[in-house]
Amino acid sequence: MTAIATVNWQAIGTGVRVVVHGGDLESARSAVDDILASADLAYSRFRDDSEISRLNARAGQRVAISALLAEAIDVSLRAARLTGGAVDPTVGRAMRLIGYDATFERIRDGSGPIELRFEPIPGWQAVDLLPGRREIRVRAGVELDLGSTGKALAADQAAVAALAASGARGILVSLGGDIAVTGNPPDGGWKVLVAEDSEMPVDGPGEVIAIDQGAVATSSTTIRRWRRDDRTLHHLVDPRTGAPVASPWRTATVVAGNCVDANTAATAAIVMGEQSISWIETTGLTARLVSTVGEIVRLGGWPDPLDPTAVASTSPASGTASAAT
Amino acid sequence: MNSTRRTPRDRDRAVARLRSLTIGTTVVSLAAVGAFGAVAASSYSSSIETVTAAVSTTDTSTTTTTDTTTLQATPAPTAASQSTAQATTGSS
Repeated sequence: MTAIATVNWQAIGTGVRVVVHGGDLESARSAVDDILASADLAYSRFRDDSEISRLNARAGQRVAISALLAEAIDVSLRAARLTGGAVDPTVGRAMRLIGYDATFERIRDGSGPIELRFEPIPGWQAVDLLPGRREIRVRAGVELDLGSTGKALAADQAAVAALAASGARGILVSLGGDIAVTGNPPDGGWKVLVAEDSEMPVDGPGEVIAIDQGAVATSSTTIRRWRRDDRTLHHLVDPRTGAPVASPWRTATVVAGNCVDANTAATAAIVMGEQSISWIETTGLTARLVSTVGEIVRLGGWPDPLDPTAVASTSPASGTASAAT
Repeated sequence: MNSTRRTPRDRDRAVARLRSLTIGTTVVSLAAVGAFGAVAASSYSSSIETVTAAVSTTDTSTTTTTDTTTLQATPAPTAASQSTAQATTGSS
């Protein structure tokens, strides 16, 4: 049996967890750190010296960008296209207007009300990533926020980098609950506790699933919440209004071939509301939705822990939904 | 009119001179086009705001999502026994 080793730390404003199946743990951690440092410098909206902050300050102009930022923006535009704009990188201004203008620790502890303003977001068509992907023009007044897909992209890249650096058989990387795995899984697969809060201990209560490849990501309106102007707000913005989305779902978890797609679908599921069930079924993805009253809907072959045949079943059941409370 | 009769050798010499003139003109023209292009490119690039100066280690990105038309599915997960998980998925 190959040894499993784990390390946890805090970076880019979230919890980082790396699990190594064989291989050198410290090398894996170092590789992940390098990826996160690059991602932070390229597309953190909360750093004045990041590329995206300076790009946002130059909206309306043609701007040269690094390969990493180009890829992150390209990924976000793809997410917007594939979700009909439900997941859209032009939410930066809307996020700022609802008070999400600093790292979440500062928002949560922020003092004093602000005047809330909601306005529809410009939409991803306002972003013109020019051929060759090294220059971009963003319409004047538009601010980009890659928060939804950026962290997931970093998880995908970190897993690949950690596998190469550590010589491991397999790697799991979790960035605040966005989980990417690569290489060979341990016996029985990578076991993942499905929760609403990524800080839930791994031996906490809840469903445990096993995956051999790909990724798992969760979006929720229950965690990053804050109060402004006597209103409770959260970070998932409805592109049609610019306000925090009012969805029948409070949490969505999706398993996909990579973390970007898992995160994209999970976020879109909440934003799309009732329509998300039929949309997810068209994607062929596996998902678990939790309604605002705690009802659980399983889609695309998500295993029911109360069904003994679900254990060790590996065949995806497309287009099936089951609900439980 | 006092004319000098041209020999075949004179003709070959004239053709060679004409050829060298043609080649020289072409080289000068190409050089001029290149110089003009360089000036144009220089002027053009100076109009582009560059924000990459602070990013020196980010050009090694790895594209992980190559399919531009669909989200990438993977086999459905299985329900694991209630053993300790290796990670927790959730919002952060």
